[in-house]
Amino acid sequence: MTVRSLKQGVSVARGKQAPEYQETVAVLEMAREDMGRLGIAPGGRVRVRSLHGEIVVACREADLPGGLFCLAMGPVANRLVDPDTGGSGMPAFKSTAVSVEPCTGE
Amino acid sequence: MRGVVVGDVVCTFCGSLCDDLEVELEGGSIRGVRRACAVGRAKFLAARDTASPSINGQPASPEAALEEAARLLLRAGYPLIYGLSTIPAEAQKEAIALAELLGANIDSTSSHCHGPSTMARQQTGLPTCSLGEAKNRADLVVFWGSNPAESSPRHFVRYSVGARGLLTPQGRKDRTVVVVDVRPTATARLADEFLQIAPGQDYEALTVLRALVKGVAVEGRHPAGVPVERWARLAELMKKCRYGAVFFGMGLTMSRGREANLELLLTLVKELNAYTRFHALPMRGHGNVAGSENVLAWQTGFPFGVNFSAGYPRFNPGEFTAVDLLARGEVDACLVIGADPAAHLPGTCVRHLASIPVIVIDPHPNLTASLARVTIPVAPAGVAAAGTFYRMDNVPLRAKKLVDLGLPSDEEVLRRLRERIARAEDRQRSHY
Repeated sequence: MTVRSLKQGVSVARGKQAPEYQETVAVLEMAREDMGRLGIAPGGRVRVRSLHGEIVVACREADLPGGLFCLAMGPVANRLVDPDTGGSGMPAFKSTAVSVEPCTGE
Repeated sequence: MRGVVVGDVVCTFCGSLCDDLEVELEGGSIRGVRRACAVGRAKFLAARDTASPSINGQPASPEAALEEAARLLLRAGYPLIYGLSTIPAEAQKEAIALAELLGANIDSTSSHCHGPSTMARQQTGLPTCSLGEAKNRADLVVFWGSNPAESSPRHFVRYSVGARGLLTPQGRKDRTVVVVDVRPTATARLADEFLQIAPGQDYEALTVLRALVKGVAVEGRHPAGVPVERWARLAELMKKCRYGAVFFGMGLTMSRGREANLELLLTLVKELNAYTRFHALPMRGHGNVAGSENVLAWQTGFPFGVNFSAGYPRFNPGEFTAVDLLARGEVDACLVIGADPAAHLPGTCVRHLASIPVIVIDPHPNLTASLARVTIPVAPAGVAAAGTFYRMDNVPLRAKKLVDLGLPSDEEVLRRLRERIARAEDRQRSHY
């Protein structure tokens, strides 16, 4: 699921090439139980795959239900997003199925 | 503040269009901003003269950049004009005239924002009010799939949660605030009631709520992941309030069900008017995304996703909308103005964008500019160019020109591009 954040909004005004924006849009949020189940330490990196792309990002614990993963809307999350709009014009920004696994050495 | 202070400045960052800012000017530049949120302040302070126009990454004169942009668009068989959401209504009109001249597709960011809401509105109507009415009258405020604490930070104090109005003199104390969302957002933390629903089950939740409002018994103890007693309590709050307002967002338009979720929400709001006054307002993101729908609708009859290839406007979401046109690889050139598709569209779309001629007209060197054949910097609207912006409740406000950066406005660049293309087409016709 892609989401908005205040930090992301402020960093956009300072430029999307700037490190602040790049870092803001490349952090995956997930539930504590999912991090435990997958053996991911806070700040650890994860590989996230969908049918449409793959990314490697840092991971942060958040108050979310199990099985729901959030990334700030932006170029990193969009590599995963299913572009099928079902005839609506709206892609699956909040409902793209992904797999997540710990990633070491990258 | 020490310099000249300009009052009643409209911030064009988001759809709230806060119009009470004070901006301090000194020596022709902005020295300070009062009353703006963190994002609005950053936007004003970031406004500066940017790089020169470019062609294939090399600096170019404004005339050469316009000439190359015209050439690329004239050569295209099925071009797309995309964006429109941060430019004034006057520039939106020019973009539409250009699309008509070229026989192009034209779409705003609305199609992947509140497009599904607008599609629902075409089916059910929109029982709505202005933000001023909500501020002055609403004693029940519901945020459904919207998070203004992060996206429109001053919405609470100006229009909804804490705003003191005619019939809400005590602000927050005079209101009950309910949040329905799949996660405990910053907005949810301010709520009296937070209903955390299961992802993708808004349609079920709204069906249950409609039934309970009508006094119909509901099967199951936890519809959409929330105890049925809590849905029943929300139904009662909705029926018994003096004036209700539901501010709905991307949590509904981007989730499973899309426009069907919105048809149900707007139907629920219509039905609540049998018991009390109740209104629905879309939480709109970009400063003039509401304007893009208004201007397109009064120019073409349709709010987004419009195609002129038949010589007259046609509307078909899924066919003429930007994500679909790009993901299917159909368009062969793209003029981007007032948006950054390389940052905000699915990767599949961005890959196609990188393979076709792209022209970017924007105040800032955004990610799309990095893959563009032609870039034309313009004055940031509401800072270095004046123009009309539509607030999220469709109230038009005039944004001021505060400083002169020596850059043309969006409207001026589009008009000059259109005139250049019209002259080229005239020459072509006279040749035959």
